[in-house]
Amino acid sequence: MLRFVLRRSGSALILMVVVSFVAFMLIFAAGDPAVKLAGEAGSAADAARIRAFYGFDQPIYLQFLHWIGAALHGNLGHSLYFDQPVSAILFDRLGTTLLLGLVSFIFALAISLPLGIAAARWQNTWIDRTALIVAVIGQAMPTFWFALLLVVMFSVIWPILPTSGSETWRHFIMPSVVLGYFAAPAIMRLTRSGMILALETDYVRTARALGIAPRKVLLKYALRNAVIPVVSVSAAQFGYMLAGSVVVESVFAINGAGRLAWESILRSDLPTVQALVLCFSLIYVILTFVADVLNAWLDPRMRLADARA
Amino acid sequence: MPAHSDAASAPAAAWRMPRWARHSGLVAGGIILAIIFLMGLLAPVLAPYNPYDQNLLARIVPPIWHETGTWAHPLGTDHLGRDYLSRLLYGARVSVFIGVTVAFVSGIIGTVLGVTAGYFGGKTDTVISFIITARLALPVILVALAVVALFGSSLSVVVGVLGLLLWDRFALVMRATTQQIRDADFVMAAKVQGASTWQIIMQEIMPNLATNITVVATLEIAQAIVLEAALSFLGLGVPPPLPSWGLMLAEGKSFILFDPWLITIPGMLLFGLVLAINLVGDGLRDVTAPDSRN
Amino acid sequence: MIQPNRRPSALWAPALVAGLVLGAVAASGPALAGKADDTLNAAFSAEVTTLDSYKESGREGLVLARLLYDSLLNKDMATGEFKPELAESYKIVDDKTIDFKLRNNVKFHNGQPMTADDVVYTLNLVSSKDYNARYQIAVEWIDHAEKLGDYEVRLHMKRPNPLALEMLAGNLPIYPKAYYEKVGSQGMSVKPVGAGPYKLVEMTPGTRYVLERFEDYYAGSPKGAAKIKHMVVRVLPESNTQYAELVNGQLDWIWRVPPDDARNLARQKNVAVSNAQIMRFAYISINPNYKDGKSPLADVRVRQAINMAVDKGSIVKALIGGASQPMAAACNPLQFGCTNDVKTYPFDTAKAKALLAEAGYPDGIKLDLVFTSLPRIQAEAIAANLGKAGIHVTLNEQQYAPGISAWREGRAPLLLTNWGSYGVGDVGLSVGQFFSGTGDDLAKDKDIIPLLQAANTSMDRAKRQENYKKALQIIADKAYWVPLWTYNVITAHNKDLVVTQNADEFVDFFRAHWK
Repeated sequence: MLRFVLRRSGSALILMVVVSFVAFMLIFAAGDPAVKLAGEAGSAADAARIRAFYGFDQPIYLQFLHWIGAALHGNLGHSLYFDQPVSAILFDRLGTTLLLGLVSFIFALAISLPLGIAAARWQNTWIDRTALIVAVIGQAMPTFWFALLLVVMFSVIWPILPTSGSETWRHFIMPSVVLGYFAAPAIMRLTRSGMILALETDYVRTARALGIAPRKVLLKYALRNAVIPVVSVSAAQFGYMLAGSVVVESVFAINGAGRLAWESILRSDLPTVQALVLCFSLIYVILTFVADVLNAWLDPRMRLADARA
Repeated sequence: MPAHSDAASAPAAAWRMPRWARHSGLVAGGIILAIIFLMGLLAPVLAPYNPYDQNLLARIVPPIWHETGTWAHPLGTDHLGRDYLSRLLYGARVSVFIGVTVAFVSGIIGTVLGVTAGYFGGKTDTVISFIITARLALPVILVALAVVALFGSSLSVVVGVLGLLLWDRFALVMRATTQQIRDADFVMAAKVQGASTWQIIMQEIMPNLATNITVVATLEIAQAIVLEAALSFLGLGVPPPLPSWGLMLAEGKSFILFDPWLITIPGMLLFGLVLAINLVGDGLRDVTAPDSRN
Repeated sequence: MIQPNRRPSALWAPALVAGLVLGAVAASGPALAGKADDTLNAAFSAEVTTLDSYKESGREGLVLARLLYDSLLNKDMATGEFKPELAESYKIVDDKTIDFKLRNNVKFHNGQPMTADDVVYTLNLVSSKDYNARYQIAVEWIDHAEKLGDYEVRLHMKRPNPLALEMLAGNLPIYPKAYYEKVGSQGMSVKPVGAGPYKLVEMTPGTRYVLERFEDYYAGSPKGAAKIKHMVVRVLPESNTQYAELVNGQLDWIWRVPPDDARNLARQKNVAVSNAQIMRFAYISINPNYKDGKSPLADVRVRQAINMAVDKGSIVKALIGGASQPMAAACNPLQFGCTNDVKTYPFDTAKAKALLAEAGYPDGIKLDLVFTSLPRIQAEAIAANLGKAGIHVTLNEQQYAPGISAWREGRAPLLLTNWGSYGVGDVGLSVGQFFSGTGDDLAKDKDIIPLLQAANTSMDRAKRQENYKKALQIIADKAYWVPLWTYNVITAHNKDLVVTQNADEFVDFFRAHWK
């Protein structure tokens, strides 16, 4: 286990450097930062001055080395756009988004696991069909649409929830429902298919033949196997939620990291983007790690396999 | 209600619904899919107008069921006065193409990587997990912006970008599922019998992944079409004026409060498409799921 | 949850009205309806970067800055006259020197009186290289400021600048020396102290700004003391959220509303919609030297054909509306130096085709049209117009930076975008920048460059006017641009609120009041 953790930490470090470098190059590919900083009224002369001021005329790899050198010393740099230390703007917003992501994810699980299990248990019945339609709506309906419907429903027609901001828990209800519903279809469909497969396996049949209560068979033996792909895909779902949170944060005016990332990219705020990419990659490394550990616990065979490798 | 229901392997028990009913989903899904495909194929015949023809004097005409709708434009016109029905018909081609191609491209990338990582484990797994995490950590929009700044926007750029963005879900699911079964008895048995790695993967592993591949593919088709809407906000969707359902959803956003049919109509079509694909996916699984475990 | 949405007709509008009634009863959230508690709730779509106003390039931040800070001069938007603001009077000594006599009754928000030290400090600070002001155009002409007495300041310029007064009016806010020296740019960006009609009392950066009327605001200011006591400005990126809150009474003011939405909002009971023409305009820039002059665009007839192919009138009428006007020359008629006495190209598809044929392209031409910072709908309408005349363009939408870079590096044959002239009513900041041999000038026309260079640095208004006119005429003759239309800003606000929108894209909230 310790070896596992160490190996993971090593590859995580390499990963963060590689991802940072790619992100760095992509920013330059996506548009001259000097032109962006000069703003929409900036002239060619403004851009040239800014280019020299921030050293954007140096080779990209040199700029990157500069940045990574400072980052290693814990200095994430100075936001070009806000003219403030990146750390001062980053952590608040990251916290907001992670909280939003977490609540949404719990909501997603709360609707998708029961529905997925029920759909498998009563396959091809109206329950299965209802679950399918719930999933399809989630898949086919862009986040912004669902979000705006909720805004109209619960803050105009029936004004019981705040539309914008992130001050209280009530502010998180609509955003979490939207984001959670966005993540739910994948989890639900995979749970369903996993359960169907698991219910066919020998050990579930054996368990059933041994006279173990059907509920216990379903929830203890079958589910344990069925959720393995679900656990794995959760990292990706969390990623989709971070991407989706841009829209949700915009609609509900939440000052989170999703929107910060989006806007910082649009305005080529290099240090801010880089810091966010670092945080995101760290989050994914941790998530994948947790998913692997969880899966090893769920399926002992995997644990053995890993030890063998 | 039966104690359990397993469509694939159990012999049809007495309580089962008749066979045709079991595949009613397949039939219904197939019919909807066929209709959407025909819409796209026959667009030049069916469309009452050229989908690119603008009429600035007849903008945002509501559909026929609205009190001010007219038969001249049964589904109304968009914000540039283009006939909505015609754009939807032509858009079916573009959107189905985007959805299916993207799912195909990302499916191949993701499955190859995921199965390789899951089957071989060890260093291979470390490297591939590294790639997957790197892909997840890079902000989608940054990649998209860079691509469009370098290459401009076109249908192939859209498919390429989405294909490169959406393979991770395939990879993660395939990796986990492969890990789960690589040491199963039937795989071991094949190994003992001297089957090559390639044979084991193709004959023992892949058939057992089919269900999950179908599930993820149906998710990705929808995801691709909806993401195309998001990308077109950035100018990375299909280049205007080419119609696509995703683009129409994106354009409908500005009208969501006051002229909601502009988004409802393409939204309902997308719903139909995704539903049909899911039904067909489930149905195909019922018919073809293998019994390699036994 | 999604049922209402499946209702296939436009039922939201009445629903919104119903919501209004309910909303008045049960509106929730921190911001309550305005008139009752004398609070103006406004929303912007874009984030405010900083309140250290020289570091801000976004319009929203600059609008806020004009509430917090005062400048030496003030431009009367109705008459175009420059009035003293923090200055009591000013005198142009010579081409490169201006003297100011300051008011002696001005206090900053922290209670300190304003003196010549503050003015000298501010002007010298912001014009220094190290300070790195975002819009150099506002400061780079300043050589230095000199204190002549406690309330007397002399400004020395590096060279004659015809736009000096424009810049001094609003674009050069005065900071309190002692405070700024203590807190620096970062302190100023979150806890600004100025001498403007409003002071900041609370903020969440990038989200919410709470302003309060400054009760010690000096008598005699041309801005006048603020009429509404509180202002809450929030950043709501999603326009539909803004509409919902405007309709349910949580917001009193939003701006930059697209015309289609404005029409619908105007039908709501408690919402009024107004619009004003602004300096900003749209244009297509044609690169005659594209591919080293080996493209069809090198031929003036092709460029003229492009000019004739666009039906500006219909597009303005259908898609933009309000106070917007089609443009004849490459300038906004609101600007000094603009003239409509140039060769014009009335919309004529047949004639455009004929010109193309004459130039040797009877089957039409194919080109890329890069567009940025322009509603796609307008680009699509233009592309359709051009296509009918045989000018087949592939629309290539880009973000601002790659779009502009593509133009400056000569990779874009045609660039469709907009220009706001920094909100300044002088063509020196539009045509004067685009055809004077700068990085944005790809025509590099040897006849135009000297005309503009002279006009950009002359203090002689008549001479400037004449030079700009000549330049604009050449630009029209050679069809280097397709001047499209001027823009307007549409504001949607509470019916009880009286507020005006200026042509320079600023909003004088301190003049706003309730009915």
